[in-house]
Amino acid sequence: MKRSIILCCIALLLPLAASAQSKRQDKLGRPHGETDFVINWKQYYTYDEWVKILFDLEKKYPNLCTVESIGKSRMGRNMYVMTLTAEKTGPDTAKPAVWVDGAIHGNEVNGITCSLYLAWYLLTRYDYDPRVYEALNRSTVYILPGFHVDGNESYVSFPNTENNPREPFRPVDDDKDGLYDEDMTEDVDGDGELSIMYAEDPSGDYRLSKDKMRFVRIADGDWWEGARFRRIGNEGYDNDGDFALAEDDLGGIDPNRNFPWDFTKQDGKIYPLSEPETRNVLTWQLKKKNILVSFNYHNIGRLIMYMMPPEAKGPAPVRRSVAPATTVKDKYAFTAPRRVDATYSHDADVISQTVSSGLYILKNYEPEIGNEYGEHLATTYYLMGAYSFLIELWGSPAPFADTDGDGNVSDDEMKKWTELDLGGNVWVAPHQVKHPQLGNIWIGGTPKKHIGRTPPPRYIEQEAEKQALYVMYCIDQLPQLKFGNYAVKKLAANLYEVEVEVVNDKIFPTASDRSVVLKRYTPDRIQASISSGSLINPVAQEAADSDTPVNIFGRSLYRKEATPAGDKVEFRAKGNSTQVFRYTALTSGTNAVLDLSLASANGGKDAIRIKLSDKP
Amino acid sequence: MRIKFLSVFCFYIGWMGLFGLTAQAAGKVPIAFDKFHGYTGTVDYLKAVSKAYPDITELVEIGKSFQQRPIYVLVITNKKTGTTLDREKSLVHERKLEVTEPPITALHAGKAGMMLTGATHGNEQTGTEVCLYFINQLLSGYGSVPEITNLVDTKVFYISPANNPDGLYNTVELGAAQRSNSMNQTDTAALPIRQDLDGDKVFAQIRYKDPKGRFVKDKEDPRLMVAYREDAGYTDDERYNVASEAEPDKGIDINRNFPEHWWRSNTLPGGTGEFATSAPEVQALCEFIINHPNILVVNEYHTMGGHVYRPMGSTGDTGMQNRDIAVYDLVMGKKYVELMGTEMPQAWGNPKELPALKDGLRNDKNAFAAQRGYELPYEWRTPYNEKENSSNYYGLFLDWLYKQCGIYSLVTELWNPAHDVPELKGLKEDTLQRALLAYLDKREGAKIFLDWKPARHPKHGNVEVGGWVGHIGRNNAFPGAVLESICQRQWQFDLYCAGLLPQLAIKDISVKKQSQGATSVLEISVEVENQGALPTGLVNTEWMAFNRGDVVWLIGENNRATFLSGKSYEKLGNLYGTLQIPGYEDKTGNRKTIKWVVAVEGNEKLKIVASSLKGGTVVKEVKY
Repeated sequence: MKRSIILCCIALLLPLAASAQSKRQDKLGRPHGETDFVINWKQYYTYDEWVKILFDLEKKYPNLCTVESIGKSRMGRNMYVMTLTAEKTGPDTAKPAVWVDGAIHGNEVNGITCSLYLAWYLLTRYDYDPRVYEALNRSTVYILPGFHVDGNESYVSFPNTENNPREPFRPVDDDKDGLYDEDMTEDVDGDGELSIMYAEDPSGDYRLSKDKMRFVRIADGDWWEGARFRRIGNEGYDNDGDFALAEDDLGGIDPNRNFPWDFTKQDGKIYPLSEPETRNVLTWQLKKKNILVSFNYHNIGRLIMYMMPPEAKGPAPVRRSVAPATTVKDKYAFTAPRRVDATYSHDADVISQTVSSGLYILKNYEPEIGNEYGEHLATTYYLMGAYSFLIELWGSPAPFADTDGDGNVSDDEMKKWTELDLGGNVWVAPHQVKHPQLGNIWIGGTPKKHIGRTPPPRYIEQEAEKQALYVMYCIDQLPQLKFGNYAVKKLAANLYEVEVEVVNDKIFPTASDRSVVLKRYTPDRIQASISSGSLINPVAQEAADSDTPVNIFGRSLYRKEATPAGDKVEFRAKGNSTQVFRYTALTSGTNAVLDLSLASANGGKDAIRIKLSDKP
Repeated sequence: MRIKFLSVFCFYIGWMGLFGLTAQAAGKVPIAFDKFHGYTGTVDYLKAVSKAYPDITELVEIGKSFQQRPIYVLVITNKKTGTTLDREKSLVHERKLEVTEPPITALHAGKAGMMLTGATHGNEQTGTEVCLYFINQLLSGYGSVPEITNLVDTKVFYISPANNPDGLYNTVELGAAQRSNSMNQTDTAALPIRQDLDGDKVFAQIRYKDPKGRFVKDKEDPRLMVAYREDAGYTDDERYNVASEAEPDKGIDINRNFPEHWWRSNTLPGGTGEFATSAPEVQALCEFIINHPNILVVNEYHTMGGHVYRPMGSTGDTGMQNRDIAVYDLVMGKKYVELMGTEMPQAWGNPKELPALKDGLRNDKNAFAAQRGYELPYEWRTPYNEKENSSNYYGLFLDWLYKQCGIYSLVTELWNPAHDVPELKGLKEDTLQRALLAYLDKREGAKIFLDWKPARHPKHGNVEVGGWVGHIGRNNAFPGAVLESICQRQWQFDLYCAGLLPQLAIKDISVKKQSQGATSVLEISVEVENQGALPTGLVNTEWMAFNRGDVVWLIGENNRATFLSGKSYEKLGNLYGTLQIPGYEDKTGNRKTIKWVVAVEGNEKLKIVASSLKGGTVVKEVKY
């Protein structure tokens, strides 16, 4: 009976080892699946277009990808989640998972391209790239490419400013005049872009730039003889006659302040998960207890925002002076600047390490602590115990356009960048328009839509690729428990002590400190059985703490924090950890064996058979 | 001075009393209160009245319970009166509506509203009956009692008799008294046992011996199960467990699932459910409240105790605004205690004494009472433990409505046998239970307490079946005269509160006109007044995003008015009402005047629209 359990475990592992990748490609510079499913990464996609891509991917890779609707948006669009994992190695929920979503704010549609790219990267490379192969066999990736699908669609398909529309379309009286959403931005000149309106005005403080492409402010005291302009504001009409433009735009509830963590503090905000979009997502996520890491794509600013455990209460302990660190300098090394209680210290370490790697992979990104009150990443950490990161994509074109190295992009640098790097035709040139309410006015002087907050097409793939690599790194670092070294020591006739290591050489633990606090995790477990004789079950006691190395049979094994174990032991494996379990067995007869089987909800399975004899 | 304060009230109490007692024409849908209606009976009644009174009612499904039963709200208002700003103002560039007819723009949103709810806890069905009684009184009085007719014409009532359809259904229809909803929190929850053990077609209680049980037989009346006390001389052998004969569904307590103060601390939940509003019933109620910002008063009916809880449960009065507290205690509380006929704090009779009373209480251990100048009486209090300055409440509907929605919220804990049953008047807990059984022994009609009989239980083996009948128990008023007298008292109280609702009115429009040819320049002055008793908003939520305050628009029919001075609308803030609250006398008056200068061509029709979120929307033509 006990033997057969072991056999089952081995049987489970067999297919993994046996089936090699069908098209494994070890040569650099040759295709790794990119041409199997071609997607044009030089454009933004409408809702119908990207949804079609999802279903085409599902059709092309049926054993790796399923697409399901998790509910409908306010305006009735389906919200699709892709589940990526190798079907042959078990169901999605039996493996640790990374969640990725894009564009919770309607206008932040590069979140969609980044999420889509990740799906495409994993699916097309699975048969070619051993790392991706291993990743999808061992773990699950959930991807919601578009979160606020109504706003995403509006942003891509209709004229909009780069900041609009952000919120779900619940009617809100922004200007408190008693009417709901009555005054939006509108495309007055019908050119498909929303720009800024100016009026000619002798006392205005703007003038046209030399190249007549922008309006520039006339500095105080500057002498200017030519035409002067007054800035009116965003393109639109005064629909309600209050002399204000676009002051009550569509919608008004920020979906990323709509999540339940710490909601009581948000006096006067609407109730948590009031929007169909946010409710669909969180109720679905809560059912997937295997989600260990969560990414939300936003823009802008090139930030890795990370959710931290609560700050430790009470005064900071007095610091002991520490010897200066050794000389290796890593400019990407990062330690989260918050003191946390011991309960959460492992989370703080894991977060710091993950952010450090992100800073290295993404380059030009800055770390920043995440906001709480109602943000999605706060809820995925505090309610679900998932390590949560919010990526603020894109940002100023300074890394590409800043020629004088001052960190900023001046008007001239911008002009050069748009002409040489982007090839021109990305600017709404100031032009005269007859406005039905304002008479003759000027509109223009701004870049077109995908310049400021979303990358121009030529940068889409560049951005998406490094984001995919960062997520790929996190998938790689999902926990994997294995038995390590072991040692057998004969204590007396028929009495053996066995010490065995359980190793997790990945960064992530099988459950975060927060999950432990929430009691929202399945403990890792080792079942032990002995072929003849019995195991001595330990009585509960505090683990002895000793740093003394013990050398048994030539193996170096630290007795540090060895956990006395019996028939069944439950624990949580931390990231980058080696935990030692100590068994005491009273055998009857010779050639007894100790069978250990390790099962972890998020860290996989392993088994080991140890001969109980003093002869090696 | 005392006389002046009282006289303000006398006006309201006067006409409230009148139609509380006026004989009304019988309603078109007969209703009796000799048994509980349960979920099915309630829905049948709501459907019947909405069919019988199509001009003044509308039945709205606001969501579904966990077991997919509809949650209904009956809207009562004259559908032919009232308007909203959206209906009066046309936009210059009418854009395509992306979201069609959101509920927030419903016609009745243009009237001040009041909401009554029942059976948030399924086994507290007395509240459902109080709601049905209110509906019957309002509908049958419409057209015959002028004051009721006026309320239905100018205000709107939202009545949700069953906030928790699953709990109510299981309690009344199945007989398994169920407080929570039916949302299982674990996947492995076993199916409840609902076998009629003794075959009497009634689910009562079971009792069985357990050396760790929490109950013992009462020494004087062994039918009665009383709490085990170590010092009362009982042996472990005499201890019992008491449970329902029919097990309720496992679910979450709806009234701990609202988003106010749901978190126990910074890190762990204190309320029920996976997150605040995780219960579908709670989400439906929250969505309804958010979409009806015209609601100013909510009375949520629970049992039992015979008192009202006003906010807050999660914090003391320090989490509230003093003027809001004054409205609660000195106006609403005073009325409630009067109706109960019990003693009220000295200060409520003469608020001018408040400063002196505060001094007197300065060293009291109830710091909140010292701050107010009075202790709250039994009949009118807060869930917060003022004496110990502590709370165990998380996620209350009561708190959310007050703190986040700008609503005077109340929880009425109906039914106190020692107050509501004349034969038991004034009895204390020790003797009350025995007297209650003696009273029921003599009472004819439905059995409410059963004698214990041996039976076999699938889980507990040998048990006795009997005791309180599950669907009535001692938590609910006895159907018949007792229940009806409670309904009558609540009807008077709710009507009093409805009479306090704010009411915007356009008092006076004066126009000065200069014309040249087809063009007229008009100087328009408009006085807007709140003729209702209460202000159009609470102090607590004045600054919050949803509170737009009151606005006045000057609207030209064809958008052809040119504003020379002023713009299309002006903001008034929240207008005070006619009610003068001691200590918070209104210095600005309940009216404001707005002036415009506009030019019009031809005979462009002009109108004034005054619109308040919680005080109604009114319109008046400008004649020039």
